[in-house]
Amino acid sequence: MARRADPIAVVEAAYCLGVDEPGWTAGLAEAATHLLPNTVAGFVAYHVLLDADAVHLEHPAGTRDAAAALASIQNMQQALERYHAGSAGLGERIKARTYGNVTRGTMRQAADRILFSEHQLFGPRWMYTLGVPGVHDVLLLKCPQLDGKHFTLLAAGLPKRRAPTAKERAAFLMIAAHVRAGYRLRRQLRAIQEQGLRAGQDGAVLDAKTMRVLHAEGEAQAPDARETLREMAVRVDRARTQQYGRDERALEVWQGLVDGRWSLVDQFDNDGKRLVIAHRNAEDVRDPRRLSVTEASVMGLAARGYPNKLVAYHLGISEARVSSLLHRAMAKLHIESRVDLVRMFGGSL
Amino acid sequence: VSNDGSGARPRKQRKTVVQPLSASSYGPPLPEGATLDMLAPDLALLTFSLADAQLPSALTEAEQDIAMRVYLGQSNEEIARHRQSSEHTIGNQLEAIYRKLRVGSRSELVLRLRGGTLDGS
Repeated sequence: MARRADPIAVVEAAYCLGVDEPGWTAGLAEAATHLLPNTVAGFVAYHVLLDADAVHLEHPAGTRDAAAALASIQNMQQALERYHAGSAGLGERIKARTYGNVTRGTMRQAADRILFSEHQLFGPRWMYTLGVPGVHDVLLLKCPQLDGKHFTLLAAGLPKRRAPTAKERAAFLMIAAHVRAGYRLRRQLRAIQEQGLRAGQDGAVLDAKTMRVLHAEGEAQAPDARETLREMAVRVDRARTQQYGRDERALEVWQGLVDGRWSLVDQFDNDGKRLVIAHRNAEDVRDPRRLSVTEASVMGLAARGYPNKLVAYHLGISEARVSSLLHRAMAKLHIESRVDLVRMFGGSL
Repeated sequence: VSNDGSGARPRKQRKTVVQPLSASSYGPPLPEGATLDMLAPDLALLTFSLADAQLPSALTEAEQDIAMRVYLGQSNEEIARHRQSSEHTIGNQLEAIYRKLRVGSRSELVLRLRGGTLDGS
């Protein structure tokens, strides 16, 4: 789905838990290509970890056309590691120190900054430091964690200098918020994974107190973040004693998923139930996967079992339009088929 | 293998009654039996109960099996593979099911098996 400036792909990639860290940055870089046309040297994504006296680059990944940018980042990564280990030669020491200082300066500036040509120092010259030819400006989307130490970076080279438009700025800031949320979720899950996992007695809330070592018996493979999350969800679901009813809070969260105040993280079936996991967005952040009013109407009617022809009749739009709206709406909420849609909602309307 | 008496293959014989909808019908689908748990302060778990199919006794055993598989989201191709018959047979059997239950589409069939009807009764 190569749409023009489509932020949905990046948000999907940000909340993708079924991949390891290199897979995650690779997914982000790949998805980011939908954001900006006319880039030079592809998109790269990586993590930066700022310690008191060290700068670490982690899991650099890039699109196929990003080989040059990626190579120079990996080059820098090695130089930094040797520098921190004290085994760098003079040239590498200078390179690592310069790069470290520039990076530190860039990172410590205001949150979620998009650098197009805002700063000459960090614009062309930053990319120049990386030694990628043909690049005259750079997009650098910085997604910092609250601790001020962990950053996820998305970068692309641009063929000429330009400033971001207001629309681009808004879109990139929204994306940064989701990348940050996705990364934080991964880190939380990894922490739980490392400690093992145990549902609290009441099963209502899993907080730091209720998590304990459980996987101590040498399981062959550590589960990935998604498996950890699913296991957590299944445990909470099993531990619940409350029967199904019309839970107003559940409706509220579902409504939030539909209008973008919540973000869909994962969903799966277990034991005759569908488990949907959603992440609450910050006040000023919406998920681009929210349904438009028309999409919601089409989906509502289709869920009642209406064929497209009738949906079209009721809404006064063409059948083809109904079909494409429904397709998009179901993709946004990860509902696989019309049968699935009716099965989930059909009797409840 | 149709045996409802009418010899000719039925096509579009069913008339759909278009009824006006109330304004509230146009919203997004809302779950009925859903429960909320919080996994973390910002992480919610919504649990939907996926209702069991109610298989009408008017259907033959084979038809019930097929209806059940449709309900679980299998395609005709998958159903054919599981039942070791051809896709065409499945198609014909499905048509018989549609006719017996007076439904016009796959999703209406699912709705019906879930216990609802198109006109909301």
